[in-house]
Amino acid sequence: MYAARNIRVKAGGKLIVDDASIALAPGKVVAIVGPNGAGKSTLLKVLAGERRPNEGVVTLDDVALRQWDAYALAKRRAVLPQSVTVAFPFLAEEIVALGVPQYYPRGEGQELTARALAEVDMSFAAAQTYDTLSGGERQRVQLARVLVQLWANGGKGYLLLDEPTASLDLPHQLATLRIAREHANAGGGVLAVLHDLNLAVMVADEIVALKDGRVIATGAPADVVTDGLIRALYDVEARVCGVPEGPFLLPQTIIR
Amino acid sequence: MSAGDAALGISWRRAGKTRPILIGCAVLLVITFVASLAIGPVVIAPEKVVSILYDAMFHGRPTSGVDMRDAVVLLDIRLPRAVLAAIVGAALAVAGALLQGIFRNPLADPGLVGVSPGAALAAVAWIVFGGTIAHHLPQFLVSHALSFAAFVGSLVAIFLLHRLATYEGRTSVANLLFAGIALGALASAGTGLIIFVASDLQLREFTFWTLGSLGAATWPRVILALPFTVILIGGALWLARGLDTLALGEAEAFHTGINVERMKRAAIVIVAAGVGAAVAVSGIIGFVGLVVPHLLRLTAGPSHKSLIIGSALLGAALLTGSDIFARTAASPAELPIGIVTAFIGAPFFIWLLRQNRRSFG
Repeated sequence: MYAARNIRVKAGGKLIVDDASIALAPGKVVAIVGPNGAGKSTLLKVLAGERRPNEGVVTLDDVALRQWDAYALAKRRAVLPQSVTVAFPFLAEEIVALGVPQYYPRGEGQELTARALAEVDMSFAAAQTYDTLSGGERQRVQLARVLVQLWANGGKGYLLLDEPTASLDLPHQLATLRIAREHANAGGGVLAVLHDLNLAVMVADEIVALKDGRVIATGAPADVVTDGLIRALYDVEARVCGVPEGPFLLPQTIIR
Repeated sequence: MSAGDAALGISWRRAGKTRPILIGCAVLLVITFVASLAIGPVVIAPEKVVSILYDAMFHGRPTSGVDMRDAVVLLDIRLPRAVLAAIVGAALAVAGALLQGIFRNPLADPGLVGVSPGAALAAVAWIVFGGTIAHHLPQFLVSHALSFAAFVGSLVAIFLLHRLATYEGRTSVANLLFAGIALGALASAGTGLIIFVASDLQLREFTFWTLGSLGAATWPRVILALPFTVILIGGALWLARGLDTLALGEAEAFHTGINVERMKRAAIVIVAAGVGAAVAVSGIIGFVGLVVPHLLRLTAGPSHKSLIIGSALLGAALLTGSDIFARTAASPAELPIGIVTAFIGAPFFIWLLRQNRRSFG
């Protein structure tokens, strides 16, 4: 269990995350949604251990996150940031192989690397320099690296994704969400910051809606994603319908 | 992919390229090393060089005649100088690779970013003012005091550089170079001032500290610099995998299981030790730490394990070769070796800036 309770984060005198709580269980996909600047990424960074909250506590496997060292933490959770720039001309496969733990058997590490590249549909670029790839391709390479880190540590760790679909085309958005879903089905836990509510509804078991740093709704997509929530989150008048299967969203008019 | 390639920590696709390049660097080092023993006012044929070295190791020195003269020239004058050149070259190149790794920035060089000038200032200050406190210190400290002072000087310089150039874990090229230039200028001004006001006999001329020289090479100096260089190279290899991961960014390296702050502190201390020792025995020699790692990244790839091994070999070869030129080009006078490395390195640096104009922003 991965849990954050009553998290407050201040920066520059401003409250970015305000008394937010969130829990992530193995086997589940939780999506954080909300407008720009709602504190979604900050909350994810707090869970990742990258940022210390001013108040509140994060626990992983019932142990406070402060007590985990970087090495032990990396065995239990992996993090996909929004975008990663690499300082030196590494090849795509070398980037992916950085997910392999240092003392892992070499041959198995190579197998995992090749498998992860295939999983994100990037095998063709294995020997290309990372810098020469497009934004979406880089994001897929980073996802492969993160998958290798999870697989090499038993495959049941927590996966934290910060806008994993932002720079991807439609088929790869769907592929990324399928990967997240399969990871949860295999016993891992997934927390994803997502902008596209339709994608969030498709993949998530639970949606956490964040506005101005506060959690304004939590629950199953069908219960949470309503006309009222869209209005409250975005000031957008939209009608949520159940056309294909599950809730479905059409932005229509803008208030004001 | 063979076990040997795996030990270099390189991609199996790169393996075919990386190994021959490292072997090439080693061959180049052997050639320049033997050449630097052979070339000089008295030319000793390469096969003679090898036989004198072999005899000195297993049979003792010849005691008379031309052989004795050659043996003295070789073993007491040229050999310590060649060994010191190799040690200093390896230290500077590996220190450059390490600095570039921790700042995630290919333009960091100990000389350019103020680390070597910081070491020189501290060394000069020790020579002039150290005498007044030396008799209060334990003997073992006094005998290594110059290296230690240079170590402290470079440590302070890297620490300041890090504070000045890094904001929220990111070091922009502009900030790194501005901070480095400012630190270097300040340290050089301080060095100049001390040398100007002091008429200390121990203090060799200003050019030694600003442009470097291996002219004062002796076996005790070799022994002074060797352990620090071994610590630097060994430590750098130990940090290699972490440095690879750091190329992703500090947060990302942490996510992957690296204790970033601890790794950076370790890197800073070993760089300071290596650069401090190099400066204490040979003054400031610039650009080696810039040129060598860069050539290796272009050819053998950026993985730090192979980069560090290659930097040690190629750095040693480059400085040994440069020293041959420095002491023969204007013979019987000697060029400061820093002039030679600057003539190689500065155009390279300009080329590098042009290459990277866009991406460095």
